[in-house]
Amino acid sequence: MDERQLLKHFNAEAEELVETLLADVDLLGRAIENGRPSPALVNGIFRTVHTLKGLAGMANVPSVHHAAHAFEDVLDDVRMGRIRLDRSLVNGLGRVADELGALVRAVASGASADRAGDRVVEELATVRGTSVPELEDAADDLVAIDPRVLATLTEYEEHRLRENIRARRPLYELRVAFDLVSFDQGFRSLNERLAAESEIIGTLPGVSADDPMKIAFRILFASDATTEDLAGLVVEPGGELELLSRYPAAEAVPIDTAMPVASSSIRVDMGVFDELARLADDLAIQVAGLGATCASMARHLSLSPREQFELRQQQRSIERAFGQWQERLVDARLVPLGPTLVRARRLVDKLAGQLGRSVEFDSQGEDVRLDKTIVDRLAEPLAHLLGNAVDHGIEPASERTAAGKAPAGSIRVAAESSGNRVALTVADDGRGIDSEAVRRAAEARGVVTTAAGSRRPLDMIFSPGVSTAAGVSGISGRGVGLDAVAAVVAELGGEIRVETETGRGTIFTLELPTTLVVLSAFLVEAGGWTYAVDVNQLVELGLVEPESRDGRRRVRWRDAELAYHELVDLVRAGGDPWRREGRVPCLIARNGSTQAVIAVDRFLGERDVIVKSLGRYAPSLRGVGGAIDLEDDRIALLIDLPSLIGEEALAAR
Amino acid sequence: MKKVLVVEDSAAVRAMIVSIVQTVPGIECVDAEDGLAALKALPADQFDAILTDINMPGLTGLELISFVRCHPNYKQIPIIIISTEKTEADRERGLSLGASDYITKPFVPGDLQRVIKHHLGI
Repeated sequence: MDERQLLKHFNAEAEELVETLLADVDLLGRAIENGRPSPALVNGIFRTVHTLKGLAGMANVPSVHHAAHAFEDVLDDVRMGRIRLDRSLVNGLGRVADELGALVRAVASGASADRAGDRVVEELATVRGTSVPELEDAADDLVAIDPRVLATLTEYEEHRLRENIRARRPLYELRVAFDLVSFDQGFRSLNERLAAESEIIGTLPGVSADDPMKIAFRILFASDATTEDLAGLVVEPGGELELLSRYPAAEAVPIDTAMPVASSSIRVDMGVFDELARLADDLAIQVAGLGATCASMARHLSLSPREQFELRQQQRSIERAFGQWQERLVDARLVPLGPTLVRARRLVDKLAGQLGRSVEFDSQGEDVRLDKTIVDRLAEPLAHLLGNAVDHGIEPASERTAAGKAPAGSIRVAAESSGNRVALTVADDGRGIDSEAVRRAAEARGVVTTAAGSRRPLDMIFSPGVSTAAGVSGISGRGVGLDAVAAVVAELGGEIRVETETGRGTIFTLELPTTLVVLSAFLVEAGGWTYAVDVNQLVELGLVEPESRDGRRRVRWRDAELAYHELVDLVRAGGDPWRREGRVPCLIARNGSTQAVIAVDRFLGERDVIVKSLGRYAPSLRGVGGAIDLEDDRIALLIDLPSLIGEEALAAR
Repeated sequence: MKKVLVVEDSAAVRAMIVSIVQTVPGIECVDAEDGLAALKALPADQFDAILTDINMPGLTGLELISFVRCHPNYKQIPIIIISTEKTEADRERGLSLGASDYITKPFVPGDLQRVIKHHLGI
């Protein structure tokens, strides 16, 4: 392997390691806010830097080797419990990690790395200077561990063993044997499940005594899970579990040490949340029907006023409890924006490096929480906006200096929440967008119509066609694709705005809901409005001919006579239905045993939609569960069919 | 042809070690990304030496050494620890578990080649 190849290997892996490092340090910051960083995370960070050091040594990159070595020393002290892991230390580690990242990038771009290397060492000195030494306790001998297992523990693993004993955390040995040929799958899956709730300290592989075709593992771990839960893990691979610790009961101490080991969270697949949301929707229909059932019971069973009161009270408390439960479910999907902002920083650094721009990145709002789906969907639009800011917004240093600006450009991403909305801004102090050029480009593409005529020329940048126009931001070639950004934001139920000032910079503001509910909806039109219905609430669609009998409109449907309603009457939205001639498109819906036929003007088809809350206006609209953004700035109202026909059916009695 | 198993979790370092070792005529390498992958590789080939890192996720080098030394089929295979000045204590543990030798990262190619040739008897 020659020098050039070595360096190529180095650059590829070092960049990956730095990304892992930054993400983990960020995670650590969040964990320390919650008071419970996991030792595995700290050790992972140590290992990453350790690997980077080894790599730099082998590839002969002394600047990185030196810096990573110094960083590794501090991290070793942290993981071995010699320095206390607190908030100020974590902040310091974050700064060191950032500088180390800058150093690796400098090396990759072939720039001089001396200054970047010095900064890592300077930051480390600060961290060292302000760190608090941790007192090491003498290890206890309250646990009977096989010396053969002990002998294979690394220094770090032995430290973790002592820490767990100090915290009086139950220690177990799990003995399990796997088939020699296919052991890795079974072992890895067991390991994963075990690591989710417990801390694995060591794993000793050996030859199985009963069967030479098997490989036996002895896994030493600490866990707060119940013995029953742990035993459950072993059932499938068929192993045995032994409790090794024999702590005196009275001596139990709270696990509130410098580096607590218990985890208060579990990982849940997003599919589980979606399933829970679906179940909640089903339940919502039942709960909504409860009111009508109670009212009808009160009437038909001639309940006393007191009994009626109690029934109503009980019904309301069920509704209240269910409402709270739904809110909690929605909240549980919220995740902080922090990791997104970390990725934003890395992206800006990377792009700036590639394009030879000098950019300072700043972010705010790491703790702002949004629905996981929104955060995931935001990644691409955000990357788009940042790409534009670096590529088209920020000018080369020479141009900036000539314009009397600081040579380094600034890009700032900030999130701020107010109520159930979040405003995410992406601001740069670059050259700004030329509105006149946007207008010309829009005109050239025929985007300016009478409807758009009232809009500011700048807003046309979000129109398809204009966004791909060359020359809009002064740099030709790459399309900016802002229409795609606007489309995603609209789909999420948000809005996008842009403000710009020539020579001063551009600010994009994304107004987003914090929560969303995704639903399979059937869209219909009635009285000039578009309505959406949860497909799960639909029994059937049909074309029917209504007939009048006893002054009430009925319809025969599959051998039954059903009540016939106009949707516009049910929601009392006003507006006249089309003149009915011949067969009318209808939704057939059910509430309990009551079925009804609901006439609409037109079927528009099924699609997945995101439901926005109507907020405080919702209670005034009967049977309306939310709003859905459609294309062309139109909205559809989500209607709750069972509650509509339930009430209607009762009122008609 | 002598076969050497290289166990190291950094892909780049692994590639470097393999390329250094394979420069010696008559040696061929098989690589494993961690201790577990090494356990999987062992029965598939006849190895004449193992080069292993210590700190690896899943299964550490120490655990791998302990396994090899207690297994009737493998216990004779020379094991060389790839260590760093940071992991001196762990290297000592590895040697007391039965590792044959060690080399400290970063090393120059000649050193590694000399150590490996010595243990392969070439």
